[in-house]
Amino acid sequence: MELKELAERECVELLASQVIGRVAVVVEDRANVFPVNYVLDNGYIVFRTDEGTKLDAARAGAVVTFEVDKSDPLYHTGWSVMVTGRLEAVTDPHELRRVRALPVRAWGRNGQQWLRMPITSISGRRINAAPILT
Amino acid sequence: MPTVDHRTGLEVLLRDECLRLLASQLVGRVGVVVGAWPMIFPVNYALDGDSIVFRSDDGSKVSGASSGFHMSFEIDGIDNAGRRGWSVVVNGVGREVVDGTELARLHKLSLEPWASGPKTHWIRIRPETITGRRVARDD
Repeated sequence: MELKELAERECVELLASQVIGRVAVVVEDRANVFPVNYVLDNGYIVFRTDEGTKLDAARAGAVVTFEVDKSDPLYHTGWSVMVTGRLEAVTDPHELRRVRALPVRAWGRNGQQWLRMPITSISGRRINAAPILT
Repeated sequence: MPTVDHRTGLEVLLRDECLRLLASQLVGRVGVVVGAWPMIFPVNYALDGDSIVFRSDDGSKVSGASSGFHMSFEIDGIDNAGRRGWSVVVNGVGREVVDGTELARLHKLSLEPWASGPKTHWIRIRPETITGRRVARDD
């Protein structure tokens, strides 16, 4: 089995290929993980939320981590990409109008708040199982 | 009649349903705070009773977790019948398994690590909370 670190460009391509990721927010020294639907927009990861932990983190300008992965347990291959950046709420009216037109559904029913994080640092890896010799 | 969280409009999954989903998957993600930053990494895991077990390397983010780290473990998927998204999150304390008898038992779970490396350490997350959500039906 081989593990390969991915180049930044490939990480961004993989990030652009998915629609569901997970965001980790630190609350009282604990990582809280939430699944979100997202879209990549001009170097930002954009997703929707409502009042709660993620919006609080955005208002506080917290650094969060975002992760996407895909794996095939049968063939034991897969990749994962992790992004770190400062979460922010989109509040500028012009920018809000623009992001509201992006194709991203809320995980929940409402998702009235729009959040984004810049891709400040990105890393990824891919695993490939060695062929099984019989 | 499913319970719906009125704040989010998401269906709340009962604990038994969460455990059933946890037993049905192979890959999940562990969230842990390293320094001041949150990190998320995928792991192959097994459900052992109501706790999550996975393997880890020497020098990894969670090795030496004998004193315990707060961990958040997440799985999600699409329910093919209804094409609805769901997720389960386990919050608890992750500790390295050091008891020889327990390790011998865990080795029989034939749990393959997600990535390469000897993965000689076994970590168990004992749940404090298990929560699950499913996108509610539109109808």
